[in-house]
Amino acid sequence: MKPAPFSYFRARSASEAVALLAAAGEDARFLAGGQSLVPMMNFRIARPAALVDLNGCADLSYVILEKNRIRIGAMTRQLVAENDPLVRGHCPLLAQALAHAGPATVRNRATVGGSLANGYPLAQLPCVAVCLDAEMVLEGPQGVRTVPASRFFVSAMVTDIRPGELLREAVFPASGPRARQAFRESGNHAGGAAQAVVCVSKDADLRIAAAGLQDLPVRIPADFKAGGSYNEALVAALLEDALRACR
Amino acid sequence: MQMKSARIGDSAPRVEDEPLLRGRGVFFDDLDPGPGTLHVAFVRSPHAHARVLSVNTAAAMTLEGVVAAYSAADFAGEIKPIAADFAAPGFKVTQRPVLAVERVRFVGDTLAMVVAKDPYVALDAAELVECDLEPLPAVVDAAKSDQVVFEARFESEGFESVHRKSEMLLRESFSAARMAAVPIEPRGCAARFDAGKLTMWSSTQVPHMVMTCLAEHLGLAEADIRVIVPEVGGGFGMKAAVYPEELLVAAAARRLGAPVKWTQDRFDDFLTGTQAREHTYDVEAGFTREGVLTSLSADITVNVGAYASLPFGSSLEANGAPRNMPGAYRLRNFRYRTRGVQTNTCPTGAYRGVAGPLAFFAMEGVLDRIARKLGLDAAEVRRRNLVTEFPYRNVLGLDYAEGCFLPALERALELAGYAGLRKRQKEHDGKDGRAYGIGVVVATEQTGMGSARYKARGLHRVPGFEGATVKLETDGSASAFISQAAAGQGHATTFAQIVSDSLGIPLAQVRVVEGDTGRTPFGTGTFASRGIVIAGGAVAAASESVRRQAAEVAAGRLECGAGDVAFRDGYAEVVGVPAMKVSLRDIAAQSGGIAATERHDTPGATIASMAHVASVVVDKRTGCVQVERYVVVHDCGRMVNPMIVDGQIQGAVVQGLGEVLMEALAYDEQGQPTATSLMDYQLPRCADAMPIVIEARHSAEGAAIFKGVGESGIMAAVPAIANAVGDALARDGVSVTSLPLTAKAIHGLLWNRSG
Amino acid sequence: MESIRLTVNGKACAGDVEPRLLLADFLRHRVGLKGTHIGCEHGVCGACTVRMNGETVRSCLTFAVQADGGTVETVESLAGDGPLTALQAAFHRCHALQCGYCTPGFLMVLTEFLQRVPSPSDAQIVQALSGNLCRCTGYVNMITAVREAAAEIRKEVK
Repeated sequence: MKPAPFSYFRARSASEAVALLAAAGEDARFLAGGQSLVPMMNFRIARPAALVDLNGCADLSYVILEKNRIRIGAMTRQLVAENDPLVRGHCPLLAQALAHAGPATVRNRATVGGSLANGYPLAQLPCVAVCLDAEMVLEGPQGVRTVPASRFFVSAMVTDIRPGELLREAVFPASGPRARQAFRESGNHAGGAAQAVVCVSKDADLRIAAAGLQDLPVRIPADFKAGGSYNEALVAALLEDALRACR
Repeated sequence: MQMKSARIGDSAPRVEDEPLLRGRGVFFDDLDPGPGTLHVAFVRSPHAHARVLSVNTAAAMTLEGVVAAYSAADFAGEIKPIAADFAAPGFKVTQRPVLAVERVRFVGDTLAMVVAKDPYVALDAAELVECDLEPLPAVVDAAKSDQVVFEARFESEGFESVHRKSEMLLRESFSAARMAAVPIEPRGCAARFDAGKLTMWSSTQVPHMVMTCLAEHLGLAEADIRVIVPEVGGGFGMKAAVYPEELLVAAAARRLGAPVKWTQDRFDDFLTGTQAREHTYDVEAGFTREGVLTSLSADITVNVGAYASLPFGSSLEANGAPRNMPGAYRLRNFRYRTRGVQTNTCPTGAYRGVAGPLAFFAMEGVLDRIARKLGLDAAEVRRRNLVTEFPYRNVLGLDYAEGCFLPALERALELAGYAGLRKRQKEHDGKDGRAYGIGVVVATEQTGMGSARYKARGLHRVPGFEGATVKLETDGSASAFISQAAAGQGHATTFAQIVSDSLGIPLAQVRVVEGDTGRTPFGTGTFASRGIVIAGGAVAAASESVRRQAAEVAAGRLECGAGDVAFRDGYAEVVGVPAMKVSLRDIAAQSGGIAATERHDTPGATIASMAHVASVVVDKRTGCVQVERYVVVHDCGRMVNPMIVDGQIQGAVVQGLGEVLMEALAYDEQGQPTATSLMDYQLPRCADAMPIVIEARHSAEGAAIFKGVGESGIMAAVPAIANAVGDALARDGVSVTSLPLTAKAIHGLLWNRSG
Repeated sequence: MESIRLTVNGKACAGDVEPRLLLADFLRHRVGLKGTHIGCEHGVCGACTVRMNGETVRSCLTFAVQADGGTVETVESLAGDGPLTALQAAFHRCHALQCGYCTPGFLMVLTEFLQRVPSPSDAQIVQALSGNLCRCTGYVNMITAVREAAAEIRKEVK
């Protein structure tokens, strides 16, 4: 399987990326880590007429702690974010999730922004984002806007990113000194892909999100009870484990 | 690496490893068939069943770099349609055109072939071929199909009266999903004609059968065909089929007068690589209150797919399933009806274990149910049913010369700590949401089947014998030319060990040549656990012959009797007087090299056997299963290389784990395959595997006899792990009858259980 | 077409490539390094793993144009023309390869792993091995091989 032909543009900054995308036409897409997009291109399920490569945008790769927020540049590699002391110290839920986001080789390239922008309902980072109500900072030809996670994920693989917009930053709340956070996922087998994900954050308040119940991650209450479906049973089991870990 | 000679029985490190580790192994896509090589892409049917109204390649031809685009009409009369089965009682002969003429019968059936200067362009062009198809209803479920293409029945004498008088009776239905072999390297083939002579390179397990099928279907003389096999990145039986693509690539090369190459991608592999399994067993077992199985009736249906595939046809699994069932157990009354049924799904073929894993899943499932019904221990039921006296002729007429089934079972139970596992299971209150289960399996593997058996099965394209030429070269090294084609089994080492053992030549100086019909004797290929038994037999016989000749020459030089000559580390020496020696190089130089060619065949099959014990933990909340302990005690007779034997068993057991817990190729109602990537069809990873304790234990005959072992691991692992899960869930009133046992399926079983 | 220049296994390479040319295909067919193998082209099996700019990547998910101006190292660079590395030798000793098709990918991943985690626990070894697929070996001997290689490398470093 090889991709269909496309034009290629290299951006060296976020604003240049936005401009290149606008110039490249309707079927242009951003290339971040490529770990989700390129497989789809190889299957020819995705056939962008042009790719704007973000991998040279140094201004999109950062982890900054600002008062009670952690700002992560969209092109920050997942492995870098996972090992960043600010992330580990102030958003352990995110660090735990990143550790589960794939093999090391994938996380060398995959980006924090890429996973969020992809909006795969069973992915680790969207569930964390919904749990903590992270904010997505989008930059487009019309300017910059911020969208909270509760509105950012629309449905499976569909986000609120508008044509021409670049997800440039994700902002997570910094956890307090007494925060307890736990990430749990379950697949069919130990080496298998996640079929359900649960994120628990016990800080100023108790926040829980689950992936696998709907076509996007959703907040669930602490007393969530499974009905008859398998996915609900998984979520209930993971919730029990996660809550216990946060005691 | 090795300057000493190796003996049969040494765990000699493999001679093939170094180039592979350095990235210097030459696999199919690494080959360059010659200047001007063109690349192929196939246009596959998007419908499971449709009438072909037209195939228009005009648009594809306009793309720059496209050289040709063919549909059926372009090769009319040039390529014989495939008829894998021969007319014989029980068989319905069906045909398969290599390119669809008026109908496509599965998603993946071939409509057209595009040839271009570049593989990327070939794929672009394939998308531009316009196919006008009229969809027809598709049949996916074998139970709903009326296309029976193979049927066989058997009833042992007096069956009905014994069965009717059974003390106790149980009925059960077992079923399992479709499997894919998924070697990490997909398929590939390339062809080039030079002055009417065809060279084909193929990632295949069966070079000679590719050769004979090319001759048969393209009207060529076998003498004008050479099939060469590069390093093969795994086969597992999927590459033991001969495919329409091989015929088409050769035909295109002939037509275009240029080398033509096709490297398959993973998506195409999921669509067109021969698949396997998907059986149903309706069984009825009569047994005594002591847990002895007295009669067994089985009605088996096998989903063959859309076409019978070369060379094994429609009967491969349908015939093998019932014929494996008696296995290691003393079943004297057996009746079966077995059928191979066509559906609008991918054609099936051989996949490691073939019919064994599911036949044993059903058989061992019956024994576990007998145990549960009677309140007996599962291992005890095995004890009471195992064949213990040899020679033994089973109810199907298969001869077991010797066996050590019972001692193997006891040793496996001991190694597994069975008593402790049962104790833990009994004392476990289940409050932690887990369940422990144990699966016990004792099974046989029919290995090294020869020509008589293939003939009897109606598989006339499968020669059944193997050939080997062993040559002592003038520089004192040895070469062995063997009718095999390894895909990771270590033939370059194991066959070299046989030669080294016989001639005393250092292992590093024995070269093994396989996978080349132009340089090796005619034979069958590498599948069905036959390599060491049959090809090894040929290699041993040829080595022996060379040895005798060399001994004669040495005796002349050393002035002793030929019987007083011993071979060691490259020298022929007088027994007891090592100083009196002459190098094999001198002997060979003297005679210009010494060679011998031997063919080896077997009248039946050699019965290998194995006892497996699996211990699993089931998380009842999630349905996830972890195999925590796994024991194998096996009899593969005399092992050439124990390290390689263990490797084969480890790989096969983990494949079995995949088959039970995670792998399934499903089709929706329209016949669309739902698993066409490694994201859908998940394979076991290291985190899923477990330590596997392996011990070899053979019966008396085993000291002298080679038996096969390549498939025994998966044949027993599927029932062992499946029935361990069944054992874990039995306490909850759950019955395990169908595979795979995904976490979701297990959860469903627990949720829907009665009581 | 894009013009690219990069260093592969220490040697300067250049080429004119379509943007869609996968790095795996560039390495195999333009540079002639066939040790990198293609198993799936959707980033799951890991057979195509190479090092780009010092870190392992799946070369089936990377376009050759993205390697422009950088460095790539393939399995051929591990031992070069010299003796096998401790990891390769351990794979050989422990029979951790059978058909050898997935092996280059594993070697690249594990070489990076042992550089990052010189004293891995068995659990870490299992996790590191779980990113690549092997159909032949069942992984059992790979665990032993990595354990032995780690010990060997630590001894060499001392």
